[in-house]
Amino acid sequence: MLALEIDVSELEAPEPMRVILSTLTSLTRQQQLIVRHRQQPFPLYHKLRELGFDYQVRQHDEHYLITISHGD
Amino acid sequence: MNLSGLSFDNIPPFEVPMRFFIMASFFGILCAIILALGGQGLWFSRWNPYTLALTHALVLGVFTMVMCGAMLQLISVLGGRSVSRVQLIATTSLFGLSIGTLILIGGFILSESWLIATAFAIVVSSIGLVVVALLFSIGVPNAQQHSLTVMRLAIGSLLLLLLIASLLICEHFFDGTLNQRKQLTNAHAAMGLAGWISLLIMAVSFQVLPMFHVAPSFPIIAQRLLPKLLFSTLIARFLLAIANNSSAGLAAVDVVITLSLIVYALVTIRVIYRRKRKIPDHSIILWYLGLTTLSVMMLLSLLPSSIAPTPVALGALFCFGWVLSIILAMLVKMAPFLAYIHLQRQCGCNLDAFSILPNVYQLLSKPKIKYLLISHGVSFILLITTLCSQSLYQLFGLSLLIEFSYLAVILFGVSAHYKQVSRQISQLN
Repeated sequence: MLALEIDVSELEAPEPMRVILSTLTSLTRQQQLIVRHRQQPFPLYHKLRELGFDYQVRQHDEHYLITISHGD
Repeated sequence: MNLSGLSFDNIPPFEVPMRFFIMASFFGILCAIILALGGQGLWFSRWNPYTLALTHALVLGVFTMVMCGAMLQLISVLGGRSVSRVQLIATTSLFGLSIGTLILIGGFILSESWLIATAFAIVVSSIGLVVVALLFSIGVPNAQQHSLTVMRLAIGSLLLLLLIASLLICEHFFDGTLNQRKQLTNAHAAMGLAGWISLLIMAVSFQVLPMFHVAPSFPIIAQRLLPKLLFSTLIARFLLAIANNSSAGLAAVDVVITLSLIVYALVTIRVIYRRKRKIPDHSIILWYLGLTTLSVMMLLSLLPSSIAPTPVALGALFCFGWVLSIILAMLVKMAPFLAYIHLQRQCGCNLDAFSILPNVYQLLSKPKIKYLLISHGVSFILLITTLCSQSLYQLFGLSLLIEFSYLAVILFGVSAHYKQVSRQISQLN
């Protein structure tokens, strides 16, 4: 699966959410989006579930890496 | 900042806070008119009718107006619970606070006690409505929700502020029964400026600086201890004033209040300085201006009375230099942020709609924020000039008129852009 990576860790609110949602509009089923974030974006998780995306979160150094892909 | 406590599901409609923000800019214009009408006498005594009218126009009409709008919105985000009947509460309190403040201004200028008492009843009812609604929505914050805890302290200060105001009115109507007018007025001013307004700015800053400026979180000790120290010292100050205590006791608590605010200013400057992304941002300059003014004027207030600035000068610096700078810094971030959040919620699950969502600088452009900063900077310089040479008061009034008119234009612009995008999203849905 092809991975797209974006770093929103230094963006002010609500730019991380806007950039992620905007990127998701063009994400194909063969792609996954890896987001580097400075904190756990809980409001985003709620939105991803609503939109039918799957996501996994893992901590890396001081950041969080959120892998998003289309749900089944 | 811990985003786990934030919820954007229960936020009231965009119009709710924006009506308060826009009304505040109209009251700012009214402040400029009062300044122009008041003449030089306004700057010589805090008991001057126009000084009293201007102070209450600014504190109730501008500061409290913005804060009521912001709190009705923020409580839902921070507490995750909606304010029930928010539209009705917002409309009623906005109307009541506006009418009450206008009557109060008239009462002070005309020196009519019955107008002041009528205005007080209307203002207390309006603010009381918001306070009750907010306290029900806040509930009991958990240990991590420092902002909500500090908001409760700010609301507590507001209730005490209104209590002292009622004592002042009693003192006025039943002259001689309390006979502590000066002490009570000082307690009223301290509870309003250092309590209600400064505590609320602290509460909001704990959230918005990490959120909007990618700054580190405030030290936990500062979030927990400083607001509680400030609030308890203000209560001690009030009790000493009621007990007609010695001036030595009052001077001691005043020093603690002053030092608490200086420490807050220095900690906040450090937090802002340590932000990750040091991109040019005009709202940061407003924060620095406000915090520096707070530190300097608090230090000046510690000087012996023979060389310290007059109470009118200190009050003017506090209101225009510290509070107004921070309120503008917050408004230019909060208005486009709220517009975005509402538009994003309107998109629902329509992925196509997300692509037309504007970023915050499309909703409120950087040049507009820069012009507002310049306008505020000019007003601030003219304020200091007027404090040195009172004959220049009309220039300060004019610059304030321009500043608040421009703020109104900016806020109307954000609303218009919001409505335009909202219509586009409706068509896509």
